[in-house]
Amino acid sequence: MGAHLTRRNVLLAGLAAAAVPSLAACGDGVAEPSLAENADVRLPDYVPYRGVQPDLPGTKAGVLNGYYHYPKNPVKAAPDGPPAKGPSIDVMTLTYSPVPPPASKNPLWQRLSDSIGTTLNYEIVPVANYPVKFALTIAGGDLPDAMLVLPTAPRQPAMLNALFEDLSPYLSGSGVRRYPYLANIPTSSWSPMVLAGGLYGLPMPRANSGSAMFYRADIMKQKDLDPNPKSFKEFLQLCKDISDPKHAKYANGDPAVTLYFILEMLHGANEWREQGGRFTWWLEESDILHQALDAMRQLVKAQTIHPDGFTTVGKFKDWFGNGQIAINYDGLTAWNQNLLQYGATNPKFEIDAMVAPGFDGGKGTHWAGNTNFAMLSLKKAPRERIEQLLHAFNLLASPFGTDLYLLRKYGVEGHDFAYKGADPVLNTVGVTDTGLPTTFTTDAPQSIYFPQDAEPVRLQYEFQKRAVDVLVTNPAYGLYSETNTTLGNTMRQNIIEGPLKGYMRGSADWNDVQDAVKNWRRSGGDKMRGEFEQAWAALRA
Amino acid sequence: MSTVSTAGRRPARSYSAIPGQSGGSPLWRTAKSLVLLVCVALVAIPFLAVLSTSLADAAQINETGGFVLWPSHPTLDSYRALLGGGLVSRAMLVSVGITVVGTLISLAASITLAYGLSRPGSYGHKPILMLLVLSLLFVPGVIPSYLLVKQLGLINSYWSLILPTAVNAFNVIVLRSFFAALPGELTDAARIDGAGEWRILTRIVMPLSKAAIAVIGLFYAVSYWNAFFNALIYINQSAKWPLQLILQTYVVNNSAIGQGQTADPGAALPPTVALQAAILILSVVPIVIVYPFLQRHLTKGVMIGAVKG
Repeated sequence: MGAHLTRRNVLLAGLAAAAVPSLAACGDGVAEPSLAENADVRLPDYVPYRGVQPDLPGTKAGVLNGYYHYPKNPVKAAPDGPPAKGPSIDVMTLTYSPVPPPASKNPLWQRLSDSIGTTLNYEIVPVANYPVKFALTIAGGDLPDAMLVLPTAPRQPAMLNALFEDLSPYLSGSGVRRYPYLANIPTSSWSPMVLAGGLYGLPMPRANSGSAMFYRADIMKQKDLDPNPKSFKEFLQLCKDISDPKHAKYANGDPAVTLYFILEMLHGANEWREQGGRFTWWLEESDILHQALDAMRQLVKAQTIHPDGFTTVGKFKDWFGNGQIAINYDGLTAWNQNLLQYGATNPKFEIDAMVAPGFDGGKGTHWAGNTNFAMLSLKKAPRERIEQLLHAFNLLASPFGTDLYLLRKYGVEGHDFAYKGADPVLNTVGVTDTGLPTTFTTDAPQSIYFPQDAEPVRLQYEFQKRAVDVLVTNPAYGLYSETNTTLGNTMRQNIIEGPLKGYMRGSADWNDVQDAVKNWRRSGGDKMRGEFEQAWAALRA
Repeated sequence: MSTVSTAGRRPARSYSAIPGQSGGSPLWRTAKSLVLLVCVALVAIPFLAVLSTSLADAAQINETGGFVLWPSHPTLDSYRALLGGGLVSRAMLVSVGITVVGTLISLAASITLAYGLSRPGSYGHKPILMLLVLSLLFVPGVIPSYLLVKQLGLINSYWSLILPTAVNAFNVIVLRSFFAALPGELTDAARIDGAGEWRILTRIVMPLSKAAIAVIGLFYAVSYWNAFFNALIYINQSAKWPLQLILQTYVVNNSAIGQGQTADPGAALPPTVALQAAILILSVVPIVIVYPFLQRHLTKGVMIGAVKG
């Protein structure tokens, strides 16, 4: 297949990647690699980095390493000098942050290139525009050396097989030991790289403890409330006690994520449930869903959900920060962001997070997050070039405690950050300089660290221990389904925004919810189930 | 010295004599003033809110959870965050350069093309006009445009931000209509005096079409100033991005930060809403500065074709 890199194939792969469902559904002559080949791919060995001892050691189950302080003398990530000397390296990736200053004005970027041994050229694309830019670059055929491939990019197996390097000859099994920082990436982050019978990228590891139900600990203390309910009944009471609609104060903002929390109480499936190779979607678990929606109705009726929460997008963090809501479900990195954003203007601002209790008491569950953000795929190239790239990206994955990690996350002392004790604290120039998207190239496994204060580190670690203890993973994670990639999010969102929110508010009934789920099955749900089941079976064949 | 007789002339009509324009009773005038005041407020208050929010400090924005109407402790933090690092100031230069050069090229191309098409009997003007009209009906897709620009070797070049959009068929057709409506006697007279087409265009047609050219120029300038998508797809290095694309990363990306995809932070940027407000102010300022100079022509120009004769 790799030999058939014709203009037509490249163009078709690009068109497919343009996320046009109708085109993606058409046959185009690009042969799909066999799923069975994925079972033969050996994942890289996991060799945890031992160079820096954490204050709070992580666990294999997924609790991250916690560090109260950055090591006074960071370990040299490349003790033998720049490891990737040779031609310059072009990387195309995305950013969620404002774009950083160019290399000529960004000492972080310059030193990163110096440390690697060659010029690192970044083509940075705003996240919202990445799919279009990606499709055009693929269509143009002039690929950079490395590109971020989003999990939502369509036609991945055929495209990867045709245009990108299979890294299994370099990294499978013990091969990865030549690149110790890539070997430090947990196995769970590597599994989504297996597509088209090969290892087609480098991971961007993320915590598997997913999101967190944050609460404003200062408000709870002020109202003398127990922030750890033992059942839904206690959660409901807590929400009622927090809420004061007359003064526009509510417990929760976003009804959708509050529903997730209730589903965690009810031991609902994390997106999919697998039993004996048969997959069930989370909204197909009727009894659990019905009970969760009824619980949501109670929360809505008791005026504990912000009335604008049903229609607002992107305001929940601000509401949480200014106290309009006291509970907010958010990604784990929001912990530090919240403290910085709102703690700066409100000295009393204090947060913590709760794990869902059992609906009727006992233990609840916590849904695992994705252990990888996206893959960095390398353009087909001669062996020496691929090895040079791997040495460069190995350095970009150097972990907490190394000088290169310090450089990537905090920049250059004096210009980007100042030490507070042993800890680097970014200034505003540093915030823009560190916008260089090394986090979306490849990265070290995440760690728990807050340079300004040690207490949030302890709280986050404690939360992760509780969350990982009842973690429920998504069995479809790491499996590829074309239907899910192209239609999954839209179909899911349509049901949430329509009948689910309607039921919570009382404008839709249970039949509407069931009809929507039946429609989901007909319009692609059953197809994606089949694709997941096939992929799951192929890996175990 | 003879007196000028006004006999036979119509008396000057005052505005109050126009039906519907009478001053009316004080109550009616007050009501009208109130309505106009509300209309002005509907425009002015959102603009004031944006300006105030861009100047508000983090504490006030965190407290209100969004826009503020008056900054209690004004600060330029948002502007400093945007203009610090040199990226935005460089991008502003790029945008100004693209807008000025692009507008000049677009005007030159559009005027010459429109003039050629407006001359009856000029060679091939009908097929060319048809091609122009067709380009209004059938817009090329993004991928074919990208492939063309790539094959022309313009990727990552500033020319890719100008040349693909240099000629706008709609603007050419408007100009052509304007040129065609100019009295033919003027060009005939010039021709008898020995003027060539170039002289006729520059000495007769263009001076008579200042209003139309100013309007079309403003259309081009605004579209170059606002364009970000071309830069997104054709320019690979962020150092070459125009202002609008840089600003877009603040508006779009900051709203996505909530998805938990930022690195370990150490300091916070000013609140998103303040940055977004500052961005709005920065992006409208150049147009607000240019507009008063073109307003006279614009009001004339928008009447093109409205009244015959």
